[in-house]
Amino acid sequence: MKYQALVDGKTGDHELLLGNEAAVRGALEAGIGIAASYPGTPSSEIGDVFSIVAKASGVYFEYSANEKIALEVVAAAAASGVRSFTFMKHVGLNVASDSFMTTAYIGTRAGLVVLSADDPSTHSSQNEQDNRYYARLANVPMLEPSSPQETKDYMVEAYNISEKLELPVLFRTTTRVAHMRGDVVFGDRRPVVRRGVFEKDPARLVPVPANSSKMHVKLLGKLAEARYLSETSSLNRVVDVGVGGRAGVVTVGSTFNYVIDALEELGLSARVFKIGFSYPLPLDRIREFAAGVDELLVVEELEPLMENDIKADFLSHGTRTPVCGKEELLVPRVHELNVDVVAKALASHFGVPLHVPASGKVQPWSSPLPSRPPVLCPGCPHRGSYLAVRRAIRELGIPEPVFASDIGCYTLGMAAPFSAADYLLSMGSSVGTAGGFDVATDQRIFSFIGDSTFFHAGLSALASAIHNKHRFVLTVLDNRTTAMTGHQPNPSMLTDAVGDPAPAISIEAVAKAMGVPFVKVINPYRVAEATEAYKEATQVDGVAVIVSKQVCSLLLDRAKRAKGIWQTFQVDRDVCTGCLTCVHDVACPAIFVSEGKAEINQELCDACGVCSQVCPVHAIGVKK
Amino acid sequence: MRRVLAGLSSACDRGEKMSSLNVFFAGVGGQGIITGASIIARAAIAAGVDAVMSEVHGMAQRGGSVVCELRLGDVHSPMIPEGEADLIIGFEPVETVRSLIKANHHTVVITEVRPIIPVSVSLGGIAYPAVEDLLAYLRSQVAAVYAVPAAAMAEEIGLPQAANVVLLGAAMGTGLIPLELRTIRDTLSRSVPSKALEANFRALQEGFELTRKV
Repeated sequence: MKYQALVDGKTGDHELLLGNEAAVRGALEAGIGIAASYPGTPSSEIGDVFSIVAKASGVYFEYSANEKIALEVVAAAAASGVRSFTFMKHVGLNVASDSFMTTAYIGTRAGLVVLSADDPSTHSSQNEQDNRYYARLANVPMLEPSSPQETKDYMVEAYNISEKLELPVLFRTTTRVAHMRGDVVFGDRRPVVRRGVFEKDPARLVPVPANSSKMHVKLLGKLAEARYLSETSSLNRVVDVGVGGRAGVVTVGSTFNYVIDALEELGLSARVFKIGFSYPLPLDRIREFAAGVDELLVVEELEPLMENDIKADFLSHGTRTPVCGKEELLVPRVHELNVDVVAKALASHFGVPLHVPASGKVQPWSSPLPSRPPVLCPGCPHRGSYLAVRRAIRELGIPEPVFASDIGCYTLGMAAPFSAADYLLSMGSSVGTAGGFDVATDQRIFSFIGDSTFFHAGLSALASAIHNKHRFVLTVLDNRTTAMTGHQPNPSMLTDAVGDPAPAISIEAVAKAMGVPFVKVINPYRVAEATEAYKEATQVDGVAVIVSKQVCSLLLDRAKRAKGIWQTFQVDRDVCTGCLTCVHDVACPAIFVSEGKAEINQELCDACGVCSQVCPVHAIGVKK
Repeated sequence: MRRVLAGLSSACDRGEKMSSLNVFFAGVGGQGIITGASIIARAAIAAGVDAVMSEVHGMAQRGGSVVCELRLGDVHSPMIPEGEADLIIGFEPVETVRSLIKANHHTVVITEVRPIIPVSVSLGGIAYPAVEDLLAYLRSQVAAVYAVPAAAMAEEIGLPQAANVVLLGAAMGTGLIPLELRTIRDTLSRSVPSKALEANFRALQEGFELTRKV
């Protein structure tokens, strides 16, 4: 079994692990019994690993339909005395936040950890919100590791803190920690407690107004205790760089790595206060630390949260050590930091020259290089769906259609030639915003949602649209998986998170049962039929649902290879007229232009056949 | 826990205190870039050399630019600062050129020569530069450039997916990576299915011979 070491690795063993893999080992060392999640990058690999190791480790793991449900599953499990774990990307916590906020009021019996993987620089997200605010909003303690080793170690500590305070702990990573790989030394695995007993205690567990006002008071008492734990925690520690440093630097998370490397690169000495238990901050210790240095530099990614807390604290205590933060150091409030950005800020602050390789920097390539943004894969079924919609719109002469998009691979339909994403907010927003465009304009609305996203946040939005008589064409791009995050299952599939058989919910049956007047299942690889279906759907006075069903080409490709099927399409250069309709209408990465005619990259072609259907002279066929 | 291999010194001219080797991988999603980098990292750990890696997953399953950064030795940040790569392993010529932001004049570059034409070019944007021009540019900027027809070599071996292992072998052939070839072989034998092991070993050896001879 892959990841066997995570299950039966012994104390002192070590393994090269991704931060996300280390989080799983940490959870196992903490003896969790239940984990639940909805996949989201940069947290996805945590679930991928649990899918493989859960059974072997005696842990229950599920993919819930969304992050709020996942949080509710683990909150109830922890209330029943089972150590529990949920993990999600930063925007997932927005979805879960309704229940998360009240979990803080109600508290927990067994340890409860909520991991939020933030994505500064939006490598794979719609925003770069700083979820450290959530610890402050909910009044819960927060830990932030800097490396895979710390991710593992802090997980164990997070469960101890959670049980000491009877509070959920927010565990915040960022892309550069979640997707950092490093050596991790294992500790002991505490035995798994998989089942507990729920003991009733309504005064504590049911936040009706009479109870909740008392709960808030109690919560603030726990927060004061949390502050004491932070003040005495070994997760907050001083690291000396060089000798006799007169400047102090307070830093946290991945930024700690950049600060240390930048100081060493610049040959500067400094005292670095590394924060690991980051909310509440150990302000007494930071004040003492500040008394021993000439100035305090706060270096943190995104929002100036530690900086503001420290500045306010120093003001109220009359601490005179100057504090330099975002503005003073010119550390940007946007995007992720790195050694280059931090070194530049420190070099400028301390008036030392920035390190430049003595050999000199290389000259860039003289002209712009062709860009290579992420694109729909060769054979991606979404390409056929978008092609059919575009053809139907063109043939019917529909002016200015609006494309309400959603979160998934299919957002890549935004690019030319499809230009099929005009507006996007969040998971499930395609359905709600389609209704908004319908009532606000006279334009025709086409919205697109994935199968997993449909169950995540599309169902209640669809009910709302039907009841309010909105008119639009909703395509459920049903590629039989949660593709963008790495092929996790969803409720429309026949297997669950750990590969056991599960009831599959039919999207078309759900739509029909809800009263959608037009529901049609299409195969996006059959362009003419799909186009006709869209023409029909646009005539419907109400919500029309098209379920575009075709398995993700990466999975199809894998299945075909396993069976030894290796099929590709090729262009007959004697027949090709060089009209390039295939290039311009299909925009497949496998098709390129060679001496004025289309050519198909045989390594990339996945034999979906869509290009062969748009070729006006039938020059494209299966390679014999 | 940080372990530094005695004698490991950076080929680039960074500060005296640093003792590290920075390897930057660039290519196109689906080429086995993270797998290739992980093999060196795991082999390094097995040999007692500290290794950290940074990779970005997500929005580019196949077809988008992908990079992966590997640092051996005494460093904290898994990302290589600009101009500080000692070795660049490019899996596609344009992606190799794009990654030169991480290079200095002492950097050694290994690059696949076969282009993968991006959709932006097919749709009539910027033309794909001539590979000879890309190689000439690389040679004018860095200490050494090894042009490796890794995809063609892997096809010749009968395992097209092993192009990344050919490049890995070529990287080992430069002698920059402070590890024994057999440590890489050991790691490979634990990472690839046994039926593909023979072909992978051949890919590694042929890549290795190619740069060692130069």
